Amino acid sequence: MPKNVFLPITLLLLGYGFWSSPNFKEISAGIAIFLFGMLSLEQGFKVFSGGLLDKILKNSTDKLYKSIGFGILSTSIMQSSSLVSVLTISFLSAGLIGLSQGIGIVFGANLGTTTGAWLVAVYGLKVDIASYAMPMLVFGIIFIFQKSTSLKGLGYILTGLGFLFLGIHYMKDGFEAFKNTIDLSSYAITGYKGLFLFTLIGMFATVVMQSSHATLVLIITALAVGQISYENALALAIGANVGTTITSIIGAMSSNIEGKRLAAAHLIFNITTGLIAIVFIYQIIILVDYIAAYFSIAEDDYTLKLALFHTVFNTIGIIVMLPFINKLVEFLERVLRPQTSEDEIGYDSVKYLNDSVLEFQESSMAAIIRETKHLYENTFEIIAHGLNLKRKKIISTMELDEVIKEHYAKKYINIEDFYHHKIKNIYGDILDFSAKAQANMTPAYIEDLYRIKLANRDMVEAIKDTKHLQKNLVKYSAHPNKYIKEQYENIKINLAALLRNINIIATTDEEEVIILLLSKLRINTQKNDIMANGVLDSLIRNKNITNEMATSLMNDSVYAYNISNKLCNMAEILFIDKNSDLKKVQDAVQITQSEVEKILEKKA
Amino acid sequence: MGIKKFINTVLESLNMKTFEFKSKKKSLKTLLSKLKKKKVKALRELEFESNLEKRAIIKEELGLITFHIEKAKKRLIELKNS
Repeated sequence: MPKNVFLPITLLLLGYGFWSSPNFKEISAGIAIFLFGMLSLEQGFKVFSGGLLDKILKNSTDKLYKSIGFGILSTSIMQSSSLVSVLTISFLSAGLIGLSQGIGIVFGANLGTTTGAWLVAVYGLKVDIASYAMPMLVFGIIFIFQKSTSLKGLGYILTGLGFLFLGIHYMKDGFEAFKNTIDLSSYAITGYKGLFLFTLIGMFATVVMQSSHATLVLIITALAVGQISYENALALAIGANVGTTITSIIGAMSSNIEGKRLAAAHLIFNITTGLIAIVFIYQIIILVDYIAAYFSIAEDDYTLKLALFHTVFNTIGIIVMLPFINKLVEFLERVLRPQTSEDEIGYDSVKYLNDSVLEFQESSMAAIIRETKHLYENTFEIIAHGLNLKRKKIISTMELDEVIKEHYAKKYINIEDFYHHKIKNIYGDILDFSAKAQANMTPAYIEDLYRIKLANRDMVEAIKDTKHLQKNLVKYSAHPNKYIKEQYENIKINLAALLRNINIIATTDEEEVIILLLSKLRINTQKNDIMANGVLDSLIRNKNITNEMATSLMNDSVYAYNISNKLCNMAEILFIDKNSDLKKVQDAVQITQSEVEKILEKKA
Repeated sequence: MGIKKFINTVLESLNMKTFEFKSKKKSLKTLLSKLKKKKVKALRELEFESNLEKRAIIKEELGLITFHIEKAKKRLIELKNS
């Protein structure tokens, strides 16, 4: 109900304000143009975030100081902490960065956003920026009409900056003209009462405008023409800092638990910083005066002093919170836990896919790869248990003929059941998510994504082949005919060896080990094909097995061959890191089918 | 001049077109040196292994390593010549 009432009331109040005061209309238009400029600026940077920005983020946040540095730098350049926050949530949700790194970026972004106040205070109010805005808008629009995505991006950035400058100009003009009719400074309230009231107003204004940057510009322009007192402006700036967390909370709503934790960290940080600023406001003012004097800032230059205050109290916040980052991470992990409902017990679901990572191709690709690896773990489990083998024994160093003697369960598991519990939903979600992610991807990424989808399909088909194989495995593993029993035991041993080697490939970083094992798997797949190696013919010729057994064995050897082949294909796609040396030369060094045959011919 | 043509001209004038080639060569050299180290290690293992079954496994591995070393060398020569 309040939501439904809020919009009409706001529109009515604004309408009344425009009708009664042309200056109020000019200030409001200035804010609207400024916000539109920010949207345009974000749009422009998003074009470039399709590669460069996400790569920088991925590579420059391995240490806390680097994360903070990235937050400061990126927000200073893009003048939008919201875009940095959304990007961080997206990377965090995809598992590309950890929570402490994410918190570091958010802390840095808080400090980076203070450069906006400096730009407006130093440059925006002292130079006729509207004269720069016009050519920017014209050039920007021309660039937006171009076909090239990069030029379009540049166009959005120029238009964004143009609108920002124009917005500031209108706000400044509006406040100057406003002063001639109403003097807002006469409503100034001193002491802690004023401090709390103006902090709340700053918060409210930021929540409404969804931008602390816009609130700060409004405060600075009002302060520049003396419409608000310095002390009240400081309180408004503190309020704006707390209010800005609303943007990241809204951003985190569609994200997974990691995104929610980050938004909570942002809220805790900004509230703590705000409380410190309120409690120690008079001491901080003295500190600001001292620094201002050191840098020869005039005593009555309140706009610059406000920018300095904004930077100082955010820096204090970072210094105070920095030693507690690990504690904060622990606290958030304890308090905010992933929800599990009773119905979902036994049913595995996606871990890394959520809509918050869709916007950036690097993070959506990382999320899909991680989810596919999650699917691989389940596939490994189903195939191992489907063969009635223990997963732990397969990945151990135990001799394989011993491994097959240790059964997972008394009865063979129902693979169909396992498939529905651990594969079907995840596989479906990966395909659905991939289709959505593709819309924001470049052709090179789409090609990679296609290969990942093939890897997923290979796994699902390998499970289905295991299901077919299982029927006769149950029948012949304990059969009195020692020949047929031996053949089925061999199938089990070969598949256990395959799973063991794939597990090594999945867990090692040594590229030479990966390439050698992949070749070994290909050779073994071919070598173990009993139709090709003559074992089946020999068994039939010597009447060691019945015709019925021969038919079963022939069919099952095809299933075993297909499982091996498909899991090899999957491993080649999934376990060679996209950025590794091996990936660059994979085509050049990978063994081909004809080479496999040549090697086997030599051996024979 | 289209933007793609402009970028290509700049890349050519800065001699950056061969960058990907060089990177591939470098990656191949790195892998080759790792494989050579692996071969030395396997040869040493073979020297001290008396169990026939295990010797056969090491020999098989050695064969595979040699195959990949030869393949990588051949590709490296091709890249150098192109």
